[in-house]
Amino acid sequence: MSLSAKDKAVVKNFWAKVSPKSAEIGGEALGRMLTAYPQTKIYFSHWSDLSPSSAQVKKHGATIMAAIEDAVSKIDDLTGGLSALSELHAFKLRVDPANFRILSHNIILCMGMFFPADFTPEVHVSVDKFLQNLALALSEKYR
Amino acid sequence: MVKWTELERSTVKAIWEKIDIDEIGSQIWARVLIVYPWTERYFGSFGDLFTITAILKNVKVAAHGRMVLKALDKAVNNMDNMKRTYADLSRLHFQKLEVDPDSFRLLADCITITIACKLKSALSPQSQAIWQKFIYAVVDAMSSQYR
Repeated sequence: MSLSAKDKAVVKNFWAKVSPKSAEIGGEALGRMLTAYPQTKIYFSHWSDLSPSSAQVKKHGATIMAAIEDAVSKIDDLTGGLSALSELHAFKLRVDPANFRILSHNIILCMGMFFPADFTPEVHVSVDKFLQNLALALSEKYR
Repeated sequence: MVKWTELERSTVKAIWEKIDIDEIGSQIWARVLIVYPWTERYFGSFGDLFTITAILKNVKVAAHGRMVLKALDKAVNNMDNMKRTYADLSRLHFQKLEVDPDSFRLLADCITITIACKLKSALSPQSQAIWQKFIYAVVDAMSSQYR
C-alpha cells in the first residue's frame, strides 16, 4: 500500500495544519496509548510517571511527533530518511514492531480529536497509509 | 466471560448516551469503506462506491451504518452476555455473509476514532481505554462463531 502522489500531497497539506499543535498531539497520543494499551508500558519502566499528565510522557510524545514531522519532509524516501531511527529501534530499544500500529491508532485518534473538521475520511486514509509506511521504514533494520 | 467494574459499566453507558446513532452511524460506514477499501467486497449491491464522493453520498451506506450502530446498542445493554447476544449474528457473518473477522477490528477502531472526533477532550484517556475494552469485547463476540 505505497503512497501515491495524492497521498503525499494530502499528508503534507494536513501536516501544515496540525503542525502548531504537533507537540500537544504527540503527548496526548502517547498518554492514551499507555493508558488504553497497558502492555506498551514495558518500554517505559524507567520513567517515574506513566500517566497521561506526566511531564515525561508529554515531552517524549512531542519528540516522537517532531520525528514524524521530519519524516513528512522525507516522504519520498522514508526508508533512507528513517535509517538511523530504525537502527535505534531495532538494536537498542528493541521495540516489537506490532506496537507501531498501536501508536499510529492513537496518533490518528488524537488528530481527529484536535482537528475533527479537517480529518475527513479522505485525509484519514492518506494519513493511515503514511503512518503504515513510516512503521515499515522504522522496521527496516530489524532483520 | 469479560468482567466489568461499576466504573466501566457507567463509562460505556455515558459515552453511548452521547452518541447520536443516526448521525454517527451514517458517517461510520463511509469512513470504513474509504479508509479500508477492501471492505467494499461485501457491498456489491450498494451501487456506486467508485469514488469517495459517491461513498459519502450513498444512502445504502448510511443506512447500513445506522443499522450496525443500532446493533451495538444490544452490547451496551448486555455487557455480561455478549457472546450469547451476538452468537446468531456471528454465525450469520461467518456462514452466510463470509466476512473476514479482521473487518470487525477495523470497524471497531473507526467507531472509536469517530467518537473521539465527536466528543474531543470529553473522551478522556481513561474513558478511551474503557470504551476500547468494551468494543474489543464486541469484536470477540462477533468472531466467536468462526470455527
